[in-house]
Amino acid sequence: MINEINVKQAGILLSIVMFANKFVILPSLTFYKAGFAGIFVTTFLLGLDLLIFYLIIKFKEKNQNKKIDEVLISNVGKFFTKVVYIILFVYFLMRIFLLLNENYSFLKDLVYEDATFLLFIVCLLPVVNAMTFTGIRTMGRTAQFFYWFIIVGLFISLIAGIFSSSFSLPTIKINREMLFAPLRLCFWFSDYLFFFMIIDKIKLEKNYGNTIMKYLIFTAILLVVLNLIFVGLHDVNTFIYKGALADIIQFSSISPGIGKIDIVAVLTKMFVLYFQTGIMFYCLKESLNNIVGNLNIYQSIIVLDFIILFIQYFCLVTMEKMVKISVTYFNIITISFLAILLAIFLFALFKQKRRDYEKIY
Amino acid sequence: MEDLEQRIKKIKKKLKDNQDVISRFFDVANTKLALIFLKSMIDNKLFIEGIAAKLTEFSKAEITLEDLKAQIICIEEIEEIEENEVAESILLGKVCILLENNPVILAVDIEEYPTRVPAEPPTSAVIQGPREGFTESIKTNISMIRKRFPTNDLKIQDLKVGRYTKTKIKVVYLESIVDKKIVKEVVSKIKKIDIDGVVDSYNILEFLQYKPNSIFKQVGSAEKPDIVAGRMLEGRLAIIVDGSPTVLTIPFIFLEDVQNSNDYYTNHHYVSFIRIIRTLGILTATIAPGVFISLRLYHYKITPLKFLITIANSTQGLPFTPLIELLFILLLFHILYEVSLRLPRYLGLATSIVGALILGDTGVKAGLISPPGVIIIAMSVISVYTVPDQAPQLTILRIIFLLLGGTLGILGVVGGMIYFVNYMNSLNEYTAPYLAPFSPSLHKDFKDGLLKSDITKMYDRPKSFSQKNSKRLSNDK
Repeated sequence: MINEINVKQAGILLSIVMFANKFVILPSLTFYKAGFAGIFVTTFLLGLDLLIFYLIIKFKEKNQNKKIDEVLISNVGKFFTKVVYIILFVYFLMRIFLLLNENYSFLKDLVYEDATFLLFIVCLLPVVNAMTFTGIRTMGRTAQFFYWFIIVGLFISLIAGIFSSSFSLPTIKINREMLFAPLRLCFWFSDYLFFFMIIDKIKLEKNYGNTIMKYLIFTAILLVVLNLIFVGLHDVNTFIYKGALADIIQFSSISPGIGKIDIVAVLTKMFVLYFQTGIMFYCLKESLNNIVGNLNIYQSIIVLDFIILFIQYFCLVTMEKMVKISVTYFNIITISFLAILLAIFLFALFKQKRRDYEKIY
Repeated sequence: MEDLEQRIKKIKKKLKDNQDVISRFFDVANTKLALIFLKSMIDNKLFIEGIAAKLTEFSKAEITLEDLKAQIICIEEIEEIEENEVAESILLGKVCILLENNPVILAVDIEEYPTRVPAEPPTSAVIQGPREGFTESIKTNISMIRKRFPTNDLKIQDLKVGRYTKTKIKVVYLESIVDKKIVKEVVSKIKKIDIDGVVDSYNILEFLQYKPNSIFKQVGSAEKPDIVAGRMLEGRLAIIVDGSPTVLTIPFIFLEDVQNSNDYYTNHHYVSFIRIIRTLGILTATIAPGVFISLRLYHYKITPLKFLITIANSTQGLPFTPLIELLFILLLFHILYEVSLRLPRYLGLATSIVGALILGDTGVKAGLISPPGVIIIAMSVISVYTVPDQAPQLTILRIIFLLLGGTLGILGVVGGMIYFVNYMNSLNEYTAPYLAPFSPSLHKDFKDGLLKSDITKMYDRPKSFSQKNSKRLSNDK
């Protein structure tokens, strides 16, 4: 079986990745960092992500036969390519920890009262391992199967928020903090980094770029609307609420005939969580293979499971720790990594142009 | 050359002196003839009128094989065989005619064995549409398919499997539609089967599956010729096994079992509604007990308060934990189900009374089981039969989801759903994606997917299966 995904599935996987870490604690954190101007921060960071996605797609369209690691090796050499993959590995690992811990905290608050992290990880890891084991094509198909359920769940949650009696359109105020907040929150975005790990697995079809961008723009709009509704519902108290999607629906009911529908948000979040963890785990596996080289699928999965469990339990990772680190250290790593990547790609483009120029004359 | 009696003796010895092997000697004109056959396997009327009576009508001085062939009346082709093939031919229900001083033997196929008349299969009953079902006779089954395709495009490949049973297997397809690679793959897989016996189509089914150990069915089955004909028109092939009223079809996709032959003889709006009901039936059959138990055990916060109070009131004072209670009710049901299947019909009614009234009602009154538990399990069990062909799989999945819900809560149930959908997506048997047309999304196939559009809009054959010719309906006005 060819392990390739079509553009629609790629768009769906990237859309799910884009949702990652963005509808639990981030809306509240954005409000905490930038107040009522938070919406500008979210829009700016999502816009930046979309722009980089667009540039990567254009780059790939022009270099259809080249694989990302080939581009890297031909431009920066084997050693620095490995360094790039090591940084990517660390980035994905940290994103996975952030995802796991914020969702554990979310589920513990809202769904399980006395669940341990072990129960949480026992649910997640086998499924995520199975998804990685069956490959990107199967994962893409599974994501495609559930995607519209997830979107319907999101829409129901958002509509329930609008119908709530406490909802009013938020007053957006410009402030000085909004200039610095993107620097602090960039680790939570930068989803284009996941694109690097799956870009070579996408079957190049007609409207390749357009289809992927449509999904990404749709996701970005949904996230902006979610932020707007969340702030509109909780106003100045927004920073208190740590589970954005569930906190939108918790105090709302669409009509007395339907009643309480919190479970819709919880189920949507759970479905998204499995896929986000699955994609991140797959990207981790791919970057590990690029670093180590000769691991088979079983070895990769066992090594990654061990690393995750070891760090989680021996470094006593918690959501609070992860949030603190992500707005202080990891944002620096993300920005520097973005700069390195841009430099590499500009260099590659420049080299390409020079080669074309030499061919003509 | 040995005389006829010696040759017959030798053949009988090869057949290990079976008591129902009959031999008859004739003196026709100046030629000696011998007939040997199995009396339990032939059509007596055809034997007397078409062979025995015709032999006495010869007026020539000497008879040749050609004369015999011209004189004998039979439907099947008359074969010329060697002496070493005689035993097998007799065992397959052929009458072998031996001629004095002639090593070539004639084998006349007038095989007949008791078979029932085509009737409506109990699991594929329809309100409208054809009611005939396949029987255990391969000849009858082939004729039922032939009747629907009076075209030279219909191809039949004959195969035989089973060292002892030598079961006849026929691979049937429409040549201009089917993907030949699939036919080749299926035929080669069947040829490779080296087993002592095949008594039903199920015996070869597992050899045709890519993952024989899987709980998911990977080969389609049907008991009605109209269903098989419909599938063949979509580019699939049918495998008919002698002695089995179940015909296998390949490739298989999950949606196939959600569709029903009745869907094609009813208004399509109603069919769409019914298919949604069947899908909900699948969900209720598999995850309802798991979701119920996880809400009852772990998730008070997301359960509506009134529902929670009702459940709490009716489960007060139960001696078992909710998981044990539901497993107990499920076990009780499956015992009753097995018993009622095998008991004579008049005793079956008594079992239903014992099950429903004595065990169920008294169990609730005694405080051993709760009414919500009984309702959930009953609902889940009944829902399985909205898609009867998937009953074994759904039953196993129900138990798995019940255990997941009872031990890991709703996150476990969601994880289970994703795991199994992912597993089903990894099945790509005979180039057909298992969950097509939903994943991968094949928009053209949505016309006969969960919702059904009218036949005037179905221009193409389903893209879910690979086929040579995809045009189904001409759109020339």
